[in-house]
This record gives sequence, C-alpha cells and structure tokens, in this order.
Amino acid sequence: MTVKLFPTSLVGSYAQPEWLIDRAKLAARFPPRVRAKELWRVAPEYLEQAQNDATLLAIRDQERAGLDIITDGEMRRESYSNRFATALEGVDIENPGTALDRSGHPNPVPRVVGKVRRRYPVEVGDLKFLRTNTDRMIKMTVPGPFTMSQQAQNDFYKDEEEMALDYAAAVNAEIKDLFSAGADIVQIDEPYMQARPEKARKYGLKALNAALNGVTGPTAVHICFGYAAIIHMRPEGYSFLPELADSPVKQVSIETAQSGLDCAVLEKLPGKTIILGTLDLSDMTIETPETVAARIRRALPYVPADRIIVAPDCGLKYLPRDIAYGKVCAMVEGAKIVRAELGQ
Amino acid sequence: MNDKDGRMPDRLFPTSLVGSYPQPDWLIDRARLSKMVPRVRMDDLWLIDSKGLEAKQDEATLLAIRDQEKAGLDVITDGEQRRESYSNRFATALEGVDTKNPGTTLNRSGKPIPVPRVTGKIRRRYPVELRDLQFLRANTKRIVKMTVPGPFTMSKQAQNEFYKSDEAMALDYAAAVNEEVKDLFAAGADVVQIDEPWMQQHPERAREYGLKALDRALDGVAGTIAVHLCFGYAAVVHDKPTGYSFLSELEGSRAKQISIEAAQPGLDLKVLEKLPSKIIILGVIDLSDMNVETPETVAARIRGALPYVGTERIVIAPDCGMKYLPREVAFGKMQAMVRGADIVRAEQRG
Repeated sequence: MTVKLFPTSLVGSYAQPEWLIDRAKLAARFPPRVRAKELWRVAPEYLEQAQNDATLLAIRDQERAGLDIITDGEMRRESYSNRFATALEGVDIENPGTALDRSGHPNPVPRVVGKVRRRYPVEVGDLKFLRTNTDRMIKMTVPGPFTMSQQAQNDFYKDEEEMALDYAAAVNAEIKDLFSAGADIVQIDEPYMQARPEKARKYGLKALNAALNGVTGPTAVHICFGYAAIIHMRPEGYSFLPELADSPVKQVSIETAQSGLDCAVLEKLPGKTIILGTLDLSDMTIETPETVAARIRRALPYVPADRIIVAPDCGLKYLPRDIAYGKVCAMVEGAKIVRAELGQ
Repeated sequence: MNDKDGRMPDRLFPTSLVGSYPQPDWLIDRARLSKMVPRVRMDDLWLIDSKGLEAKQDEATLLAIRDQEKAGLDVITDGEQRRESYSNRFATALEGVDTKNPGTTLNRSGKPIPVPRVTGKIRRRYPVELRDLQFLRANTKRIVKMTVPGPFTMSKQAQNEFYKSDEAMALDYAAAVNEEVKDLFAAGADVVQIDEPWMQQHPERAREYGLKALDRALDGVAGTIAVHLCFGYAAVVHDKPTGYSFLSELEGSRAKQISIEAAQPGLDLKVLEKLPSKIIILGVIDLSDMNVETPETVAARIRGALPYVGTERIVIAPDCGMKYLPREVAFGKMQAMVRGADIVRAEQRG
C-alpha cells in the first residue's frame, strides 16, 4: 500500500468523452444490463482504438489531478457490470429477460438459460492496457456475483443462490487473472447488496466469499445507494454493511458525502480499509478542498487514519467531465489538508 | 531560458517531430485522407459534425502530445491534429481567397488539384493557429514548436486571379505569415517552423521570389525560426531525387534551423556544409518504410551528418510529417529515433 496517509482513488468509472458515447442517451436510461451498442459514437472497426484513447485521457486526468491509485475509468463499458456480465456463457442477451432495477422499474437483463461460466478473461486486456500506461498503483473493478445475479432473469437454476455461486466462480477466475496480469487492487462492485439486504445476507456474502476464494491480492468491495443521476433518494444509513466485517475483502468502498452517512457505522468494520466517499455526485458544484477535508475528518473518530482511502461516493460516469475533473482535484487537495493536520 | 530566442534543448541531438503526427481513426477518415493532400477545406473528412469537432481535436492533440512525451522527444508539436493538411487550415482562413469556388493547380506529382482561388488582396483576418499554440503550451512543459505554411508554398497552392504577379501574391501571403509568426512567439512558442516544401519543387521560382517572400515573413521576428523543405509525403510522392534542387540558398535567410529529409532519399549530406550557420533538423526516419528502424539504423544516419555539421547544430527528426503513417508505426519510429540519438550522444560523450 501507499505509505502516505489518505491516498486518493476513483471508485471506478470516470466521465466518458462526448465523442465516444452518446452521453445524453446514456443518462436518459437505466444503466444497461444487456448490451447497448447503439450508444457508441465510433464505428465498430475503430471503437477499440477510440476506447483505448479515451482510457489514456482518463489516466491522464487522474494523474494530472494527483490520484495515487488509478483506474481505467471504465471507458470501455456501457455500465460497470454489463461488459463482464454479457461476456459469460449461459446468458442469452439476444432475447433478454426482465428484472426490476433498484428503483423498482423493469429493465432488460441477460436471461440465464444455461450454466454460467466464464468463457475467457474479459477484462485482462483492459488491465494490461492500464498497467502499460501508468506507473502508479492500479485498481480494476469487476461486477460482483450477487449484483449480477440480481441483474439477470433466472431461467435455468433451481434458485438464485446456485446462480450467484456460478457467477462467483466466474468472478473468481477473473480476479485471479487480473492479479496475475499486474493489478494492485481488484474491486468487486456489489451495489445491490445495499438494495437487497435480505438476499445479500442470505446468500450474497456466501457468493462474495466464493468469488474471493484463494485470492491473495488486496480486494475491495464497493457498496452504494445507486448512481446519484438515477437514484435520487438517499437513506442516511446502510441496510447492509457491518456484515462485510467477516468477509476476506481488505477494503470497503462506501458513500458518505451525499447521504451524510453517520460514520459511526464504520466502527463495525474493524480491520478493513475504508474507501471513503467524499464527493457528492448529485451536486454539480465542485466541492472546496475544505469541504472534502471536513468529510474526511468525520470518519477519523471511527477509522484509524492509516486505513482510509479518499474517493468519490461512486463512479463519476454520469458527471460532465470538467466537473468530474474539478471534483477529483478538490478531493486531492482536501486529502492534503487533513494529511497536513496529522503531521504528514 | 532565453527570452529572445525561446527555450532550446540543452543537450546534443535533441529530438523533434517535423510537424504532424498520425490522427486517430475516430477523428478523421484516414482512408480517404491517404489519397490526397487537401489545399481547400475538406470538412467532410472529419468524423463528426462541426459542433463537437474542436473538443475532439483537442483530445487527439492531448494524445499526440502524450505519445511524443512518452517516446521521449525534447521538442513537442501539436501533431497538427486539427489540420486536413499542413497548409490548408491557415491558407483557407485568409481574406482574399475563395475556397467555395476553388481553382486548379498541378500538384507536385503533376496532377490537377483544387486550390483556393485568389480573388482579392490576401490578408490575415485573425490569428489562425493562436489557440492551437496556447492549447499546446498549456499541455506540455517541454519546448514547443508550431508549424505555419510558408508564403511561397501557399502561393503555389493557389490560383492567382487578382495579383499582377505571383511574386506580389507571395509577398502578401508573407505579410499574413509574418503576423501569425509574431503572434505565435508572443503566445509562448519556442520555435516556429515555416513549411516550404514547394521551394524544392519549384527551385527557379523559389530563387526568383521565394526567398524574398520568406524573408518578408520573418521581418522583425526575434524568435527561433525553422524552415522545412522536402520532396513530398512518402505516401503520395514515390520517386525521390537524391539531392535537393534548392537548399544552399537558405544559408542567406533569417531562419536559424533548416529541416530536411535525408533518410528516404539517401541524401548526400555533404550539401549540409553549405549551411554553416544553420541548425540542421536532420531527417533520420524513412516514412516510406513501414518497418520501424532499429536505433542503430537511426544512429548510423545521424553519424552520416557528423563530418559536415557540428554536433551542436543537429536536431534529430523524421524526414517529414508522420500524418500518413499508422499510429503504432509512427510511435515506434519516434522511440527508435530517441534511442538512436541516445546512442550517438553517448558516443560523443566518449
């Protein structure tokens, strides 16, 4: 890990360029669970080149802002989960099913019609590209097995738990490949654990643990209340969080800024590094560094300073890029303030 | 840093592009572009409606800067990502030219091509490349070079229906270039390069009034000026002579640096003795060859110039703009160029 206190990082996604993807259309719909190829603005034969270039620009912005941990900004993804989820064997994306989104609205999802298996490493090429193009510490995100099981229509398994465990096996293989290829941190995105806490307790944790089976590198789990751009209501507390204390993940990524989270809950995650959300993504005003600093300080009574990574609440995908960049810069400056207060 | 001359690299054999770097396929229709060098505007080459074009060009420019920095170049250009050709962005922005109803001229291969029709007095309406330079300056800490098409070349890429002579027209092009060059230096350019490939193509005319136009373009300019002369894009012009028809004449010009191609034509570098006061931007990358040179090949090409040019007077560059190369080939060639320069620099240090 980085030696300095309060290293800074994105959660995962960064704002995609307007020329790469139709951002207005992307924002006007639920996050795609099946493919949404029509959103891309570049001809199929040049799309990979364009996504590579957009990734270089996302890396550049993160480095220029001064982040310590760099992601690929998820430039190649229509949503955080569908690039991985639709690449698997056993899912029919041509004839999608339906599942309720966390807002309660039906959204087309992959229909599971056979055993879920990973056909090939899905994100390893992305990870290698990221590794080649930054010298800093890198993090890769993969969608979690529980969340994928909630973003699917089960037409094959006898129960969702069984399906989630096969998703977990696919994620497990992917995580091991990502670490072998040079990932410093792999993050599992499990936002639906918060949306469906009962099911998460019932088999979500079990699936998460299966996904981490035999993994030795540092892993993170991200849990949130949904994209600010899409989910507008925020509870003040997590319905599912202390449960992660016993999981083998080393880092837990949570949102605190927009929700005004009572950080006392973080006492219930002893031993975990907290990826602390300090940017409110519903607010298009760029935070002052002092605002970020205050949000970091709120966690200090409950989490040792050396177990805090400073981050936005969630992915920056839906923000205008100039605002995303401004917020990330404010975050870096805010972390500096509190670091200085603690004598670093 | 020298305020008058701009910054110059303080090591032997600094490396630089001539000007252009390949544009991304998501920015411009490279397949169509590869068949032409536009002199009038070709708006439909860009793969986006004009509304988002500038932002897209900005990002392509950031990527071009990044590639140059990553390869280790000392002098950085904007890669001319915003241009359909090295000359038409500037040439078509001027007053006095009709680009809607173009005229015709013969290109250097002897084929007729549409060119701006000069129907009135040539004047610069506004700084054309100033924002481009400011963007470049804001996005790299290294030495920056900006290219501007030369007055003689622009006069040859135009159909004169207004001036009594081509010379008079060239001198007004020169006045426009002069204003542009001054604005670019004022905004922070370290080097401004005047691209005059057509001086090589039309040596008689170049001697007759091209040099005069060039000097007019440099009138009162204090910064470091380069002039680029070549035999044409390797992708477009296939047969190259082994010697320049027009080169030693530049010894008397106000330009401090002369950019020449030497790799592809296998130029007899003895000619460089005739430019004793000039810094030579030495072309060491053959742009007709899609194989990436080894650093040793580049080093050998550099060594070839050493009998004729003082080591402190050499900048290492490709033969010409890299616009038409596949990007990965261009990047590999830049890296080879940097490593080749490293080899000879180490030899010189002993």
